[in-house]
Amino acid sequence: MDRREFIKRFFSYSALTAAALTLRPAGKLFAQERETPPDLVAVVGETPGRMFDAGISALGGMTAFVKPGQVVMIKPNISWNSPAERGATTNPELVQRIIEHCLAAGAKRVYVVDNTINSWESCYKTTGMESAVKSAGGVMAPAHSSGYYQKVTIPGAKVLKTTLVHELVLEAEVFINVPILKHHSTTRLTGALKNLMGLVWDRQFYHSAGLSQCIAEFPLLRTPTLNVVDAYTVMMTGGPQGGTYRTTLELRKMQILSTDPVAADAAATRLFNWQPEEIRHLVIASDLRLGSRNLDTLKIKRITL
Amino acid sequence: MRWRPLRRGLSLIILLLFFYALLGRTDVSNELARNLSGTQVVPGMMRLLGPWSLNREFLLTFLSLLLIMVFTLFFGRVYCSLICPLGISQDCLLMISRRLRARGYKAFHNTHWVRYTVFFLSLLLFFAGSLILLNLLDPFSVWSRLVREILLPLTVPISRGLNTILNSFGFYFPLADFSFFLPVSGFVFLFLLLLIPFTLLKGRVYCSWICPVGTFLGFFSLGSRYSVNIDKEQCSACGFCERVCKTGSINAKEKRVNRELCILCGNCLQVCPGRAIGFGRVKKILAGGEKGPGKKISRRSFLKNLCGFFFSATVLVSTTSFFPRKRRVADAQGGEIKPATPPGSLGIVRFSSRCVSCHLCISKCPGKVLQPSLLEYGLSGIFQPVMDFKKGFCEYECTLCGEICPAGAILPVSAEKKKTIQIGRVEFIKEKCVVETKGTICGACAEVCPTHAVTLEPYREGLGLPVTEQELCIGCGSCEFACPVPEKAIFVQGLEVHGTAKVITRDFTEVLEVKDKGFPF
Repeated sequence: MDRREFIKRFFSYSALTAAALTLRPAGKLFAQERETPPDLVAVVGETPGRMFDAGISALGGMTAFVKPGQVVMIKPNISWNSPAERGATTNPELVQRIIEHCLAAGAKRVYVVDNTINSWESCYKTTGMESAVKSAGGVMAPAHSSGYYQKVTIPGAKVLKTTLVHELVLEAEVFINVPILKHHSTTRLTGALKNLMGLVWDRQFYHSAGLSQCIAEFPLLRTPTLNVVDAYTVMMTGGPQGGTYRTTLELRKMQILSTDPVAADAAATRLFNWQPEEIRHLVIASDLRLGSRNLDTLKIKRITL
Repeated sequence: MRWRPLRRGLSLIILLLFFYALLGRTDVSNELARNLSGTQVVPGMMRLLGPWSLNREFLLTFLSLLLIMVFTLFFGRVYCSLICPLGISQDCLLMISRRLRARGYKAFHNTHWVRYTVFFLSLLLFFAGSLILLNLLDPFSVWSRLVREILLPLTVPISRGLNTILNSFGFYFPLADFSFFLPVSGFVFLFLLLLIPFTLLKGRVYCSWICPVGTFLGFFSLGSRYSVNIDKEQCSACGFCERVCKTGSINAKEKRVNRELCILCGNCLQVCPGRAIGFGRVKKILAGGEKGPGKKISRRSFLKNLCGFFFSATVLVSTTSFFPRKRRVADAQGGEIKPATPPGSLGIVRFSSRCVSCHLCISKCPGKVLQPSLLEYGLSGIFQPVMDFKKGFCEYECTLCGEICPAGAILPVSAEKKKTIQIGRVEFIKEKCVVETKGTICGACAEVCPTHAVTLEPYREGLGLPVTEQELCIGCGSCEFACPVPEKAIFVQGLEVHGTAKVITRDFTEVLEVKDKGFPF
């Protein structure tokens, strides 16, 4: 590149940037004219990445959630040493697409974190998450040692009064919850609320003190900025681990997006033909006013691709 | 090419590779650990006990041991200064402290009775079915235990510090996660406390006094074709060589080199002012009426040693077999819980009679389930690894311990085979379960069970109570680890001899496509 070309390019890029900057307020004006975003968006019929593209634009685009320079934490479910096709873990393609959207919206850094049940090395590899995150430009934040956790007091909690929580829950400005939807042997449903259990160090406390109560109380510490429930391959029975003769998988090709984790889970229960009232942690969480389990009062946008 | 700098360079590279192999957490380091530990004499001997199969691990061990023997027959105990990680570590210590010690090593002479006693006692105990002495004294095991029990826990604060620094730049450093286990770490620490001052003052005392591998290789090097020799006509008996000899194998007055002890470190070659000492073909000096290397043993001392030997042998054998297996009374019936051994080890007795306690598997186990034992296998198997399901569980897909075990105590098994090996069976005590005692839902055990040997069945008020199907259980201990009750309502009863679990297979990739893609809400 010679000097002349450099100067030419410099000015043309500057002009483009200036144009983009001046056009931005206009975009905001348009947004105000548009109707208020829906409470819940459900997308069906495509690959997880494409469904997210459609879903997030229905919610006003990623710029509605991520401001330039912010740090984003994404919490997928990669707890098991099992490839995504088995429906036990979040599709890496979806997380990859979310990271790309975040970075395009100007995020300073995007972390992906989960306190895995199987060894973290094997989970990172087998689920395909590590390579997907790297290729999208995100960072896998480790969670396998108590050194990454901080003790917090949860205001308003009856049982989960204190817990050790991953430091990114406290540090990240944007918190995107990306669970895989599946059956769970104990809580019946594992979705947005249950997924948050992968952010604490001491899971045994949940089990001994009251599982549903603790799951429901965790969002009192912090509710996710956005929940993206991956219901592409849904484990209908034999969850949460799957991979055995008791497991049945269904290809639902669906995705549920909402800022309300309780609403997202309530919609997800319907995929199993259950009612939200049947899931105890959903009832407790909505009673704690962490979200709405009443699907009739929600403004739902349904997109078929 | 001068020998000593070459030896130093090579051994340093080998030691660094050893360190990387044990401290690293990558596939490369695991592969390296597998290959390097395969060159070690005591674990190698254990592997050669069988079963003889033509897998990679076995061939590697067989060839490297053969090579070491042949090499020792020709050139002497080069192994001790080139390949033994404990030996190289001592050399490094000596090199660092060289400036502190102006005078030479005051090595002990006439140590044959100690090392022969140690060697034959180890052998005797081995044939009596206990590896206790061999395990405590084998140089590779000593070194590898040192890394696991002292060095790896020490990396924890270092990695935390690094993480704090990197974190401020938005990066994460994987934290090390190893803890001291006081009885074992304490023992290793005491061992170090003894070893270091002796080494600093007297040189490689361990290698010439105690090391059973050194003694074993010494038998081969006694008749080696090439060795360090003193030219008696040239030698002025100045004693420089004797002072720098780390193993005390030079007698300057008698102008003799003890080939049984010499490890060919090359120190003496560098200090001789008259070029009287050199490495070369051994002349037929024995024919010339001269006695062989070493000292003549008087009948009295021979008898004395023999008596001492048999006395200590009796004491050791009886004490090691006297201590019964530790009984962890935990089940409701007050029964005994047997320890579980890793898949591929075939059973408690075989494992305990083959494992050299090098703790390599403990260093590498990604599930942290392999932990040093105390008396689970009785005193005779002290420090051998045991499955500790309170610390972790055996990863369903993982076969690493069998791949890296240098002694063949844990045989390599394929992932498919491993999933059918039953190392123990699940047992459930309803009276301790939180579902029963607190009336809350839990199901932590059923959730993590990879084979559905533990499932939930409806219990009162919408609760799920664990039920077990023992024939499906492989004894991985996921349930025991996950159980939130401190004294564990569900646990693994180890099997004396490993069995085969029933496997119900199914095509996992089968996915039912839902034709109606409507919204159910």
